[in-house]
Amino acid sequence: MAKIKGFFIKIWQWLKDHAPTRRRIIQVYSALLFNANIKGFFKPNEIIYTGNTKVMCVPGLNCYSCPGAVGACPLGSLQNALLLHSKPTIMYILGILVLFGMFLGRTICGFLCPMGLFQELLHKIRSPKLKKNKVTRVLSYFKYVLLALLIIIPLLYKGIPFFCKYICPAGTFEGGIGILSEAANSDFFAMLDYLFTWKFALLVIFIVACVFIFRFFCRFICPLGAIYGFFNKIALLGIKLDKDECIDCGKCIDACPMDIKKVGDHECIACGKCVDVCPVNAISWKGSKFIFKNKEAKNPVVDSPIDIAKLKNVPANTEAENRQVTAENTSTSQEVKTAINKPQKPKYSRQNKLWLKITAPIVATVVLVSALVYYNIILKPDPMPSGSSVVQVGDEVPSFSLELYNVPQATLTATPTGVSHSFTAKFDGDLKIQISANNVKAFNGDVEVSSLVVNKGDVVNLTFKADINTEFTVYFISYFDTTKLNGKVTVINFWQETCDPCVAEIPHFEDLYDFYNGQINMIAINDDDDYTRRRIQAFIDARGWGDYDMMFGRCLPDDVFNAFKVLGGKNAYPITVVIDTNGKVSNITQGGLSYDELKLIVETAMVS
Amino acid sequence: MDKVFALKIRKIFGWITVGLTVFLGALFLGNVLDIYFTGKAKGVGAVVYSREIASQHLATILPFFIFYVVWVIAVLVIYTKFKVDTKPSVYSEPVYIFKRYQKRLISANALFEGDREPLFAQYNSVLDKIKKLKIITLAVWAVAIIAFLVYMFLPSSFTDKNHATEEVLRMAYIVLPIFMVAFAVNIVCNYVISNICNGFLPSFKDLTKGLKPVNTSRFYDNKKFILILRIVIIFIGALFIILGIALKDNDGKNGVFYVLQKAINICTECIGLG
Repeated sequence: MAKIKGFFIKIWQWLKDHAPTRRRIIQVYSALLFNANIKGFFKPNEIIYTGNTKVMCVPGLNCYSCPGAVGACPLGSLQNALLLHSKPTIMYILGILVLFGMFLGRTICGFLCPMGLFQELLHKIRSPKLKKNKVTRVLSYFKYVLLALLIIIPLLYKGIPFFCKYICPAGTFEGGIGILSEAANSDFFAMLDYLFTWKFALLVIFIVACVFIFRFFCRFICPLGAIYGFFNKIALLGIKLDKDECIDCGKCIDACPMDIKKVGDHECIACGKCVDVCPVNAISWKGSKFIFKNKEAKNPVVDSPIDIAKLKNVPANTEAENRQVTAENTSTSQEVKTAINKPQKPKYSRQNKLWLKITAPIVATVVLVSALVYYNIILKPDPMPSGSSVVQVGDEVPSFSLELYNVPQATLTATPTGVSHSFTAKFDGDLKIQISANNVKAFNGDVEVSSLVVNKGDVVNLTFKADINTEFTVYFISYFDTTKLNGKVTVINFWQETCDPCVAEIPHFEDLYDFYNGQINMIAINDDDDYTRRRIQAFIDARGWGDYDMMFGRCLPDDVFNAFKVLGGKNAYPITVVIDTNGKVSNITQGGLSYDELKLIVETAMVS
Repeated sequence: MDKVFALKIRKIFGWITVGLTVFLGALFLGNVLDIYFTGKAKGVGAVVYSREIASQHLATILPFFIFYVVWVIAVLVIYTKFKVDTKPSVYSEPVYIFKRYQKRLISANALFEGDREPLFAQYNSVLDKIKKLKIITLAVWAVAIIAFLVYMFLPSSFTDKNHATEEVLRMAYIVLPIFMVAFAVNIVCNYVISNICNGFLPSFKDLTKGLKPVNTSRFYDNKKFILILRIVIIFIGALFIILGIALKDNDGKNGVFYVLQKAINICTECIGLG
């Protein structure tokens, strides 16, 4: 019985000795809070959280494609803002980064970043470690090179989220693998190619490196740490050094696992190890007088003149050298005595002030529990599941109609006798005539018309009349209608302008459409609203797609039938849906398609 | 327990862990490359990745992965059993010790007479050497940055926005080696500086005997300045956020809209899915 009791006492003692530090608890807490949408990992219809809390960036590196993420990633949002050249967005993100940096500095790295937690846990695997040295110090500047590239490349190129696409392991680990691990998302495997291979290889290298090198990614790669490092010296939270007390023993720099030159510089992640080892209490937390109780040191920091001599003069590396130094410095005994008689700086206790001790855990627990309950229990999914395709292969294509881009228009002056205008129809189907002036009417021959049914290539002659001379603009709006596919194979592609693979593959679609010379229907659909129409049209024109023969459709969010939701699938682009000659869905592909791949799919649909 | 024996045990198990970790990483790498190149070899239309293929490959790694996890836990226990008390060492990087000695010289220039004068002359020549090496380092970095900027902003460098990926990779092949050279030169210079400092340390010890260190203050030690700077920066940050919400672009959307749009749609290429 005593033996069993002793065993449990040993276990309890081990747990006490290895209890997580406060910093570790805060790291786990923040990782859980930033990924509070835990059900996202288990529910196939809701791959990622799509609610409004994602307008806010989390302070650390946490990919917003992670199924559990409830906030936006600051780096990804910054890149997106630069890609769009949208001044309000750039300002918004920079403002958030500035405030985070100013209030917290790189305390974010040490306490709040989930990637930092992951790396530190990996580093706990017991093995020889690569200590910091001259090389690591120099290489720690590589993240500033990456930060410059992160800013310059998106500005030069639209469509390249450079860091996210080629480097960021958080996206691969949290987003990519998080999504692929769910069985219902097996169709995502079809889009994996060289990029996934490269990023997965990079992820493996990062993980292995983190086992041997403390915070490998943070120290050498992370541009977010580079940004926050600029604020470290002046941030409200962090580590500070009392230069009057400092005796330059170097123990702080030795204890620090990061590549600091001085305590609190741009590499400091405020882990607090230097605070523990400083023999003269010269290092403390900023704002510590508000958080910690002062506690007089029970013993003088140094116990004898010999210790002071050792600390204040040459920092000796060996015992023999220590004794030699002590002997050499007996002449400074007067200084030493003065140092001992100097009042000792009070040592800040590890005991927090009582009010903080009580309120902080309660508030933190309430916030976390509320977040978990809100995201996982209270929030209900959309009635029309936006996280999955409603149609499957083999289903009849739903009936819907979409307005097209590339709307021909003309500015004319209508007269009582009429003014003529002719153009060549670009697409088959309904053609709506939209006139900006109410008193102007359109005539096809003698018949007043507001719409026509045309075939591609038809020359349309219209006359516009008004009671009085009226200047107006007329738009000829074509439609794509799934009830009028004419027994042709139809390729429906869903794209976004900020999606590089989407933009890259559209010329292939046009090439294939030209190859088949009208024997198939081809449409690329963008979800749109009245505000973004001009931007999308300008994007199409800038790329030269305005001259393409294939169709570009608008899917408005207020449409009774929202093609994007039903056919667009899992909020991921691009998606290509192929309809066969019988009007049934024959293929749904997620990810970019090459010319040959698309041709194979179309030929298969033609045969079926 | 004998300290030497405990250290040996820890060393052996630690290095075995190193080997196992690297091997596990190589297994994952090998499998993913195998899937990719096997699919590519079969040609267009052949399946490269699928859930079944990935599961098959994971199944081959799984037993070793389980063994690795058990091994890591076992080593954790072994390290606890073979505990070794190590005294923290004082940071012994020569450059940092050199700088600590330098602090003692700041207020004592006038005292370098008599015996200390030759040492002081030696110290000045060491400083000259270090200065030259730092100039070389800075010069190499300046060349690298200028070359990078020239390349980035030359009209002929980026011509085809439809093949941005290839353009970026081409840039990486040309520009990254320049930075690698700059890093290499920096590291070599650091080593040389460290050796120079190390060589002079014993003489520096004699030179600074009896002198007290003097801490110089910099602009961010001025509390008033820091307070004003903090207020200004916080104000700018808040202003940027307000402007980002209030201002609208040509499409009538504010900054919050685009952040939300990006965050609620999966960017498959951002997460490495392609």
